[in-house]
Amino acid sequence: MGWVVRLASRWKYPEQRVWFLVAGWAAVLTVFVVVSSASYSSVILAHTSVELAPSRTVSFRGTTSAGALLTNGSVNLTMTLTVLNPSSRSLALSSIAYKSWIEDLPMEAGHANLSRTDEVVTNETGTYYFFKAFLGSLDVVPVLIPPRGSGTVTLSFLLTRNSDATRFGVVQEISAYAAQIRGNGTVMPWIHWVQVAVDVRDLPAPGPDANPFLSSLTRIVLEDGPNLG
Amino acid sequence: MRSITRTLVLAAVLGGASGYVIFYGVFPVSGVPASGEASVPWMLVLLGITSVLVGLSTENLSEMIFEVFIGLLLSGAIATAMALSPMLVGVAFVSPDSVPAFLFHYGFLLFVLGFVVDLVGTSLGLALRERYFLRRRLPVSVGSERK
Repeated sequence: MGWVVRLASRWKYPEQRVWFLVAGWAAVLTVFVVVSSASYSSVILAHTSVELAPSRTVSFRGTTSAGALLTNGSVNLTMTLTVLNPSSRSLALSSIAYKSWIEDLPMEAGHANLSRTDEVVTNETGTYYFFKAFLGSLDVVPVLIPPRGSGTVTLSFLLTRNSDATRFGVVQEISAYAAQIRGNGTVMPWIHWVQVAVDVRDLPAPGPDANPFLSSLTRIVLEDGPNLG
Repeated sequence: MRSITRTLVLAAVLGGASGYVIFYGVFPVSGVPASGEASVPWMLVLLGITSVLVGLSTENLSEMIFEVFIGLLLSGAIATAMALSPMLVGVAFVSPDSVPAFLFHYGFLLFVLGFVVDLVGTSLGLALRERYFLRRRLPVSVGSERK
């Protein structure tokens, strides 16, 4: 108790009373430092721990019995994107960019006069050509992802002659070739890439003049799959 | 020894305030209060209150100068420690080597602001101490044994 007495004795002298204010203010500053560090750490933890678990299905409608796509048919890409949030921050999935490529068998077979640009994938088993059948980006109604929870969004994209005649024509050609060669035009290898932007909801949005790294702090970008180009 | 301890303690308080202000200025979204853009008046209030209080607790000019310069060094250390705090929870987000340079790059003006406000504020505090504490006490404490 001696230190209490010593401390109390300082109150007698006006210039010593300032030390009480200094101690109190230092405590306030310490709280600021600790709270800010904890807030920053939890955001960084969210950046490193949030995971994207996507699943996709591609279905063909309007095909021949062998699976060749008809002119009035369609290709439907359905993506189910689940974001797992083990962090303590409240998040929201806000925008999505996606691309999907179908293996271009006619190009691989060396057919002439194929006026399209494919992405070339080379691995230990050979060289493959992929045609970009789906691509796009969109903002979605924010899907809330609570702390230590998950959020799921399901999106569907339709490729028809009316929506994109050029891409539809190529996919139709590939499916017809696959139906002829493999006996089934709808079972083709696909490569998918998706990028989702997840906003940290319980942080204020950076101002318009803020440094770009602040925006990247409040927005978590997750990717899945190879982006062929 | 008491003088050195007092100088270091007060420099730590100055460094704490300036370090916090630098961190808040660079990462306002994680600050207290969290905001989209750093508030200059808020930073000035924090630095001003701290430096005046430190000045009021400082005994003489040479101590004050030491406090301000040591506080400047400590502010960089504290801002860096705050930016590296995610490592305490096992997260290495960026290379630790790059953090001080990053803070210095984006927080350079805040270092300057902190240093200037600390100099002005501690000088003001020291002047107030001379004016109100020591002169008022002088007739009473002449001949007293208290150190």
